[in-house]
Amino acid sequence: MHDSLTPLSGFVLLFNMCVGEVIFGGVGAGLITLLVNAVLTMFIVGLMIGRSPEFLAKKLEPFEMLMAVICVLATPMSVLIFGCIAVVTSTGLSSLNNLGPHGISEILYAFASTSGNNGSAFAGLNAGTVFYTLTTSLSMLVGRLTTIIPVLAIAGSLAKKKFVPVGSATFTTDVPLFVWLLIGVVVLVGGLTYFPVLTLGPILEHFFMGMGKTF
Amino acid sequence: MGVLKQGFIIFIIFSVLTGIIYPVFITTIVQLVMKDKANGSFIKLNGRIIGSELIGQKFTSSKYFHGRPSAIDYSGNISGASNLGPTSRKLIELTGSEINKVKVRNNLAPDVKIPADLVLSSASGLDPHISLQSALLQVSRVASERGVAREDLVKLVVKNTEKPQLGFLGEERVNVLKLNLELDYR
Repeated sequence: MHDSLTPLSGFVLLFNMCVGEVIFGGVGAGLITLLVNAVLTMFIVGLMIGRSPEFLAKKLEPFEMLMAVICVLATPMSVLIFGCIAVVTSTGLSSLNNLGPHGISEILYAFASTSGNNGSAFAGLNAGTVFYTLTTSLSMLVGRLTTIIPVLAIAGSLAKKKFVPVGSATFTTDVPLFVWLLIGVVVLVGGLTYFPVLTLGPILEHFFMGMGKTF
Repeated sequence: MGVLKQGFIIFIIFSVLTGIIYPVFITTIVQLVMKDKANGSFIKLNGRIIGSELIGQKFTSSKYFHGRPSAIDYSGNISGASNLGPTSRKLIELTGSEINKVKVRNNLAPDVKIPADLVLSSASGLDPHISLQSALLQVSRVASERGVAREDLVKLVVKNTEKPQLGFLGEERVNVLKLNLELDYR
């Protein structure tokens, strides 16, 4: 019944999944994504204050950053690439229950949910076809494994490192400034990655709905 | 070996806790405190279960009040919606034909406004309620079909109206199955 939602309500669902379920209550690896975003934030803070970045008193080095970037980029890549394939092939389009921008929302939701959430869909999309069975299960594998493996690698690598003593120049994670920076990173990373496709889906649909245009 | 043993013991403890103790505890409490609700809020007639007050049923005879349209035709073993978005042409057409149906059935003038709940299907397809306005709109039809006074029926509808929970959650609504039961057996 998600399909019956107005465009902006659907947008909120999509956005929450696209930023990696970082808001608690999401089904999936929400804490993982949030921790990885925190690592990214500390990296950016490190660049800004000209110190090698630290997180929880452990030094962040190229290996951790590589893993964090894989974690943050792999899911969107899987969602967008599979989504693109679905949008440009007639097999992908033939499953749609709604045409126009709402159709893009249906496809985006299916892949965003299989990659990062519980694998539900805007129920109108007929995901029982060979095409969607294969693509959604692949996107499920990519979404799960590229989140869990890199983050375990980060954990293992950080566990082996020595503690860095807290100094006067250490940027700690228990201050409001960190919270704002973290929110900024989450919104920018998720927003910039998905903004184009969200514009073509729910945002465009919202304006069409206001104009009374139907498909 | 230590880790395996620990893991095994925790597995056993949680299997018993979440698989046996918790469900038995909760089941016992609800069966003692709210048996009727826990079992599905069934409605009985002469000792026979004829429905649940939480699951809508389909009424087609014009002697009864009608519920909302259902994308799954009130099939009780599934639930589902139309899954048509707000810019769907099919949704507009469907709703238009529902509006016509309601107008023809109830002998309404073409320019009468129909409450939305009476022409749009619900998310589950099993909504047991209609709004008070939707019920009042059907009063004339039911009254003439049954040959009873309109005022009596309005009273019956008002009597069967449920208030919003806590005064602000939801709207005033009428349970269609209960209302129709009262029509037949009052």
